[in-house]
Amino acid sequence: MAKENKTISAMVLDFFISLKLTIFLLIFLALTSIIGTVIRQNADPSWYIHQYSQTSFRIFSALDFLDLYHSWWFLALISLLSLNLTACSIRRFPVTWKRFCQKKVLMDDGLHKSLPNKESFGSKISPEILNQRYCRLLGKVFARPVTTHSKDDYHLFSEKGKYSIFGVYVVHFSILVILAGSMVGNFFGYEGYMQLEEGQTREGIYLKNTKHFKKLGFSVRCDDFKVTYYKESKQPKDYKSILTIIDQGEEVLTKTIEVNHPLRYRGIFFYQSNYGTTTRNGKLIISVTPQKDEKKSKRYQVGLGESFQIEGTDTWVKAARFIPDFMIDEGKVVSKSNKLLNPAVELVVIKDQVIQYSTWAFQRYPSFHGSSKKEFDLKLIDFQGSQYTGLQVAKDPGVMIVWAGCILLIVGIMVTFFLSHQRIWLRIAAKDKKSLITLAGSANKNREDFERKFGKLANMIKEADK
Amino acid sequence: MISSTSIFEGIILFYLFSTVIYFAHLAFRSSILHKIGLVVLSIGWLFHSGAIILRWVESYQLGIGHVPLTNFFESMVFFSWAIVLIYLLLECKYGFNVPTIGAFASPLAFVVIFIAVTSFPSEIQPLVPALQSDWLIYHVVTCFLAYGAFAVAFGASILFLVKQRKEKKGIREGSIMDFFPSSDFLDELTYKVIIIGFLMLTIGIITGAAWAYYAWGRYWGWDPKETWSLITWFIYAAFLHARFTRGWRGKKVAILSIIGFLAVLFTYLGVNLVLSGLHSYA
Ligand code: HEM
Repeated sequence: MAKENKTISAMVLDFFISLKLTIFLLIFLALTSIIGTVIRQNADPSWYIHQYSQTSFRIFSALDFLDLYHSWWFLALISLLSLNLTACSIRRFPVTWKRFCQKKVLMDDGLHKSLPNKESFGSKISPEILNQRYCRLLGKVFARPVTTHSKDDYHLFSEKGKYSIFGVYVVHFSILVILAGSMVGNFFGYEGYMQLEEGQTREGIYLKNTKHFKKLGFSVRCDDFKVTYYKESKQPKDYKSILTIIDQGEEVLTKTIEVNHPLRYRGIFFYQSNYGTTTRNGKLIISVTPQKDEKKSKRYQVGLGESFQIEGTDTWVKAARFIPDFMIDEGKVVSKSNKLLNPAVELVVIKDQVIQYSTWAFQRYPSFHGSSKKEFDLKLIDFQGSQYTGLQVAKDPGVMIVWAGCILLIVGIMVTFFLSHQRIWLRIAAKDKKSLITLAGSANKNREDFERKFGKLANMIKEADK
Repeated sequence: MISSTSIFEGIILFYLFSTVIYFAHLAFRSSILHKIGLVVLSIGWLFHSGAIILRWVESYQLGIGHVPLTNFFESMVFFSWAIVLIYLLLECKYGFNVPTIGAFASPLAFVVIFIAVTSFPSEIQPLVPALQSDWLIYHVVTCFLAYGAFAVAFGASILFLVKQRKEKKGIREGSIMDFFPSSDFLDELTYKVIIIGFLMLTIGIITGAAWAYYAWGRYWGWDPKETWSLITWFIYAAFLHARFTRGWRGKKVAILSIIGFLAVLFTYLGVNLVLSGLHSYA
């Protein structure tokens, strides 16, 4: 087909339409996608420099490998794929449409020659009667035929799965729909995070990438938060938040959310993401035991940052600092997580307004003391802080378009690969009061299956003659 | 009552036995052996199905009821089950006439369930909240039916390459190669199985996206598992398109099918063992 005098533009066009480009792009996309799974995406520059080297980092970021799936060249590849697909579909559609509209009900010798499956035999029965029988038979086991009577011949034509020739267009179109839906999401949607203590109300979120605060236009209150655990284990089974939406001063909706069961309001989804305990407004229970008299232990409740006086003395204790998950990292006290896994409090002992000393008390390790020879033995009995719930918040107006595209994709693939356009022609020619029957057929796909079907049909047609 | 785990151990023997019979069938070319192998494999598969259901029941008895598709052990058991299922369906479709494929599917199913039982803990574990979703079932079942189909296609593609090479050199009458299905038939069979796998993988990726949307608030996040499933999808899409251009028939297409299956294995195992991400398994 390649002509010598083909213009450059025609060649370029051909390239864009070609299946070779499709295959190349699909494989190339597969290969480049691998890079993004091997190199961590969107981490801190210092992480890459530490993990690889300064030079590698510079090369990676120059090639956009650190946010590969949003890089201009990856998007360009996907755009090229869409272009390829659109161009091919536009170019092929008229051919398909013509095929759809044409109806060749008469089988002449030329057509007969071109068909892959055929069979012919003679019968003593007259064409009129055979015509009626075959009409009924084809209608029953295949599809209702169109009958044409020309000269002395009867022509029967029936077809099935005609619409399946559009399957490929549905598949290709669905991919464009999915891509369009994801763009709508990119431009008009957002993702963010919200942290709510029990009883707290907030009216906005922190956006995922920019960390900017965004108002939602209504507020959300966390009424309660609960964690349940598997029997005899520390593994959480469920965590649930009861949320109330307050829109223009009115409580409009209350719902319990958990992982996999988000709340939706005005197109914005609230997903249960994580949880923890805040130290703010927390109450501590501290027990104080004089070294001299161990039976005279007493418990005090104190707010964080506040002090209490040990009864019968002029000594004060201040709850200076609270750490929910105590750990020492490079000589500094830090909290490993926001969960109450290793609660510890720093207590400052004051006498006559002079700081005597400070010490850490651990709820999990009551017998651990930094200073054992002191006058009082201080223990952390309990910490009652408020729990907070962490909510992933997202709005994606494109998601319905994406789902629609997905359904089209599945339907399209099924139609394209499991259905085929099957056609059967049957000619009954009169010959000296006898009939000469010619049966032929073709399918545009799954030819082996059709061949089998055709064989069965031919047998039935032969049987019907007896 | 007998536990599902001990049944799984018994199934290893069934599949080992059927593998031996299928190999003997190839060596002696007796169709009786094919029938016996098929019967042994089918009985093993019925027990396999029963044991999966039993494990499901057991998890409810433990009070942590969930579908048995939630860790490496359970998913490999299901993978093995899916390989045999796809093969048995092929046998039905082709009139019990594809024993050479069975000689591939049977040992594959054996190896997978053997690894599952010997290398992964078989205890029924409680589910983390993220896995407590109905989408889990749709997602995992469709993905593993796809994997099973691709595994069978992989076997057919290897047979194809071997057979095609011998066909070019000329095959001695009565040799083992003469006994293999023709390369055209294997090419066709690979295509048929890959269509089924491709449809299932497509549904698997979509149900996974839907699940991610309800659990994490986004349907696609370029997580390594997601990305690798898309890579696999691209490879098989390339395979399907390649079949529409005549020049790509045969060898090149068979190689794409083999590469596709390697991508499947990496999506399933490699991502968890080599890379890291949100998916806990499968
Ligand atoms: C992923 C993006 C895709 C692109 C860029 C793409 C592109 C193309 C292109 C350019 C052609 C060539 C048409 C021609 O020149 O005749 C084609 C054909 C075809 N595509 Fe796709 N395609 C994609 C996905 C799919 C999928 C997912 C399927 C089905 C599962 C599919 C099924 C087909 C079929 C069956 C044909 C052959 C049509 C025929 O010859 O009748 N495509 N595709």
